[in-house]
Amino acid sequence: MNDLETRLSTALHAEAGDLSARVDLPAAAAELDVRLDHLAGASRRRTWVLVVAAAAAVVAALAVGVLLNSARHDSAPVSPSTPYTTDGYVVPLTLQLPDWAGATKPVSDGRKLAWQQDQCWSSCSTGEDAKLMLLSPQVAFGPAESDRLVIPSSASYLAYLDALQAAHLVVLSGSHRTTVDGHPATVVGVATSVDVPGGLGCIGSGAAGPAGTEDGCWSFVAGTHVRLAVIDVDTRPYYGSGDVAPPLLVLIRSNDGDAKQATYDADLDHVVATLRFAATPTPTYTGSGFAVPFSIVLPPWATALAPAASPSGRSVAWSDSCPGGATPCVPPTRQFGVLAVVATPSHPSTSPLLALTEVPPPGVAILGEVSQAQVDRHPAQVLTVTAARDVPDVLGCESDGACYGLTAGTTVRIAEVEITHGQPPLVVWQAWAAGAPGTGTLAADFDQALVSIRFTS
Amino acid sequence: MTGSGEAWRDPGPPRSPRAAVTEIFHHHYRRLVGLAGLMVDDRESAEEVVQDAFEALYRSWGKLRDPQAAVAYLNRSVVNGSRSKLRRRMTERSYDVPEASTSPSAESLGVDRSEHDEIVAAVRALPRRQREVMVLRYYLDLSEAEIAEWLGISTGSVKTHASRATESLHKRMEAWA
Repeated sequence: MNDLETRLSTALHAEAGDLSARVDLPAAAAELDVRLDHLAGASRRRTWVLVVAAAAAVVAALAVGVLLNSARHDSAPVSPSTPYTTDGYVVPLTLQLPDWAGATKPVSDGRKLAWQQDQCWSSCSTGEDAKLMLLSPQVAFGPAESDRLVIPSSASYLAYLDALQAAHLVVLSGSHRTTVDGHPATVVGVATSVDVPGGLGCIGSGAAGPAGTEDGCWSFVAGTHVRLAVIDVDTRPYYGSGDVAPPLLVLIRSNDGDAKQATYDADLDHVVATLRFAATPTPTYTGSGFAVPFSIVLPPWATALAPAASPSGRSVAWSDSCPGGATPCVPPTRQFGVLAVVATPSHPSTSPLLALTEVPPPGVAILGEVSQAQVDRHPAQVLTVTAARDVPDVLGCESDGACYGLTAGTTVRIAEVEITHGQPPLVVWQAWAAGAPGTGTLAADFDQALVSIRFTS
Repeated sequence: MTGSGEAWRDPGPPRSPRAAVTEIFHHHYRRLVGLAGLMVDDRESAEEVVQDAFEALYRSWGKLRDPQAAVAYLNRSVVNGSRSKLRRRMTERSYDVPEASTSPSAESLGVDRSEHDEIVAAVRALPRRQREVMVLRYYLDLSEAEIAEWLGISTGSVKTHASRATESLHKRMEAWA
């Protein structure tokens, strides 16, 4: 046993010992005597009671079944909800989040949005770990687990679910067709008693297999219940192909048998009913002459600013004006930039994130952990650092002698986008004065701008 | 010492079912309340589950081969009864942190009292299925295959639930360090 297991085993045995020690054994023995007396003296009467009870149960079950079938979701209470809007998802959208989800920060990586209910360590009911997720899977894994199926449309995903059911891996229930903001959709319940790795789908290629976390695969897990909306919305602008339009899945997963399941199901129906798709936002900058042509919806604060592009076409940046008009701002008020790196002198990998995290340069503090993202189907890693002193060249160079680094007194959020495997990355960054108010908003603005990037060639 | 691993004494000459059940009761009732108490949220419910299990044992006595089978039957019956009770009450009320015990048993086992309480509270707060897997694994010392069979799920699911629970508990314990 490892340390955790040893401590766990010891604590459980100690707790059980405490509970045992508080038992009043004579009183318990007296109660058992009463129970056994009752059993011995009433066996014949019990037979008749059981017969009547069984008949009553059958009648009640039939009645309840009829009621549940007709009014299950109509009668279930819907959780209070709050609005949520994003321009950074596959399809820009607005919806009403149940409060149990809206109270948490979403996990987003471009093609997945997820809210996990509070783990409720000691303050709320056992089992409250429901999850709301939006997913646009390109790939799912078939009944044989080795079957990697491309999902080009919502119809193909529904056919795939039917195949899982035919293979006795899932049980579908309550399937019905509807429309979501004018788009055809199917809502269905999915129950399973066995794990189906990669069964829900993958937002990546799925090349690493059904359980490949690096490819963003999700599974149907035994002991859980999923209510799922498969929405036929046009995702082609995001995927950039006339043939591929994976569906949008909206789902709530809860524990099988959870007494709140009807509420979660009703919550899913409410989320879907309130879902509205917005037009894809118009890019506010198109870098057609850039070394890696791209378009982007800039952070709101940068939209009205003029870009400063380097002669090589490998760097472009937007800088806020200084208070009082002084230039340059040191430290910068707000800067946003895109850099097509050629080389990173400070690290052989040409990865600024590795240069910053493997052995953090003096004066650099890493804030949080590296997070994963998807930028127009390219993998990206994101990190925030604060620099107490100047760290030259660490972000990379666009040419000999034209390098970018960190300025003392700044917080910098840095994304490293892999355009071509093994080649220097595209670095997207945003800097602001360390300790400035609104840091959370600035970081969120950056994240939305990052995932709005589309490579135009 | 584990809950399921206790030796059962030689039963001696044949006795009536009632006498046999009563004797087993005196030897195992406390331990079974401890087991049930790990799965439900209060001692009263735990005792009710265990009383039900002994009642069921008495009804089934004629089908049992030996007293050892009776103990195994009781373990399983208590686990099933606890799961049923927990399922029924999941939304009826929130989990109440048990009142602090004055028993010195945790200290005698060399476990810091506050850590012991934290660990137990963390296990109680796990999602139901994860909690069941952890209690069966680390209190009853069941194997993954046995847990799968008891809970009616695949061994893969047992691994999944155990992995999730371990990850959650590990994070929690790191926070205590």
